[in-house]
Amino acid sequence: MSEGTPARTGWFEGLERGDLDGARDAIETGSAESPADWPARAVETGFADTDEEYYAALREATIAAAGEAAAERERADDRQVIHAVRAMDDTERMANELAERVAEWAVSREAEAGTGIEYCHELVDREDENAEPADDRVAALAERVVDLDNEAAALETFVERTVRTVAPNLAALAGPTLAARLLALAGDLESLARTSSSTVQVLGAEDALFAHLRGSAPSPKHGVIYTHEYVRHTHPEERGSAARALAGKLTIAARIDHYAGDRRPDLARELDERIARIRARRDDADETHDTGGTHDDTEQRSDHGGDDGAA
Amino acid sequence: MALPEGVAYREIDGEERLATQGAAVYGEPTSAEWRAWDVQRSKLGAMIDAGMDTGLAGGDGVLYLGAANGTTASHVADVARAVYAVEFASRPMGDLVAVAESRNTLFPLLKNAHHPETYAHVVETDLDAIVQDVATRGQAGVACANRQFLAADGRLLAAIKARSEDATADPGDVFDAALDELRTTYEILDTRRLAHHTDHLAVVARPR
Repeated sequence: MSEGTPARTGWFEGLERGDLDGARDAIETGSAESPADWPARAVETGFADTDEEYYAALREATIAAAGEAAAERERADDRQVIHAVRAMDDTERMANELAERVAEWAVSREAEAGTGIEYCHELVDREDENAEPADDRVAALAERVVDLDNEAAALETFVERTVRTVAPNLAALAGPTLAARLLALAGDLESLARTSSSTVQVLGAEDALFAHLRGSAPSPKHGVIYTHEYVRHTHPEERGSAARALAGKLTIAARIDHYAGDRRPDLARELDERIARIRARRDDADETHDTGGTHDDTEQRSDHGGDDGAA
Repeated sequence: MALPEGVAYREIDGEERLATQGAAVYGEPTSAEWRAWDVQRSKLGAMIDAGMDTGLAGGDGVLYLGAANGTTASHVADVARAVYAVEFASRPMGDLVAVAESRNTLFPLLKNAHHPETYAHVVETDLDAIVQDVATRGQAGVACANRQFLAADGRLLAAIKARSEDATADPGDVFDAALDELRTTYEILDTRRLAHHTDHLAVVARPR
């Protein structure tokens, strides 16, 4: 065997035993074209006196390297966005649940008590000298609701700020909250960037998708991207096309964010145009009822009617 | 068929169960120093329990691809000489590291099994077995790319997951395609569909 071929250098070569930082770096960033009998090589080169010693050093080094690298990845900003958006959903859900309890209790104390988180704010601000012990408990519960509601808002702000630095193009196209949810569903930005646009389209609709694949349901048109205005406020007949167009651009945005990182304002413009064209088809169809044909000749850009009220 | 040395059936909680000796990992029931190897959770456990000849003898050198949080890898490490445990996801790695800390024979690696060159400077040659349980597309390709770590008489013990290749295709077709690809590099010795692990094909193979 030729000595010292660079393509076949073990992780330990050039290292002092006990140099964990060096070992971690070598394990993480090193490579070899092919493996070798590393324990024998380590003894040969004096890194270890025996096989046992080598394995002990290997164990120590791999545990340090894998543990630290995994922790570092978990600390990365895209993972932080995911934790934050999940926490935001949790706090919102809990605030609403507790507010229901407050309303139910409050109405037994005061016939014209209000409902919802709003009413909890009201209760907290109220000063009542004649409060009975039960009123104190209701007010204290309302305070928790307000705290949770405030925390949800703070988390939303954090998500918005962080996702804009982690995935600026995705955040611009999807809106920060949807961008964060897509990251959460994919696992991280890299996974999202590797996901096909047809999968992005149905992320969050896994139950419906697998029901479809089993043959017992139609294919889902959209998953969590339904929350996007371009899907929700497009006529149901055209929603599938809108979802496909949106998913396509979101996928491209995620890939640019992961692999390139620069801002591409053109993406948003292209998406706006695609959606306008898709919605225009529907406006045409509305005008020429029951003909079933396509009408590409009319250029109609008016706001479509139908089920939406907001722009 | 002989069990690998260190693997035995023991009576645990009134049941005869596959077991190994080592520090408990995932809340599995134990009896004296033996801990039950849950064959419903572990595909390799199910292969051994089903009587497949895995070629594992005890004291083996093993490359474990897709170690996840170390449920199965911990049992392999109980009876092996050395287990190189490759896992690409950072989330389960915390658990896997904890398993490694509780025994001397497990070496965790945060690496992608599709790219063996990124760990060939750590994992030794002439290993007795590759245990593979990676739920990503291209599972047969992963097995072929990692053949270089295996001794000439070593064994590939793989659980091929149909869903990971193509969720819509018939699993039988997916398995046939995977086996065809494996045959470019391996000789298939045994295959079996496992109870408790529907949608998986267990494969035992040796290098050609």
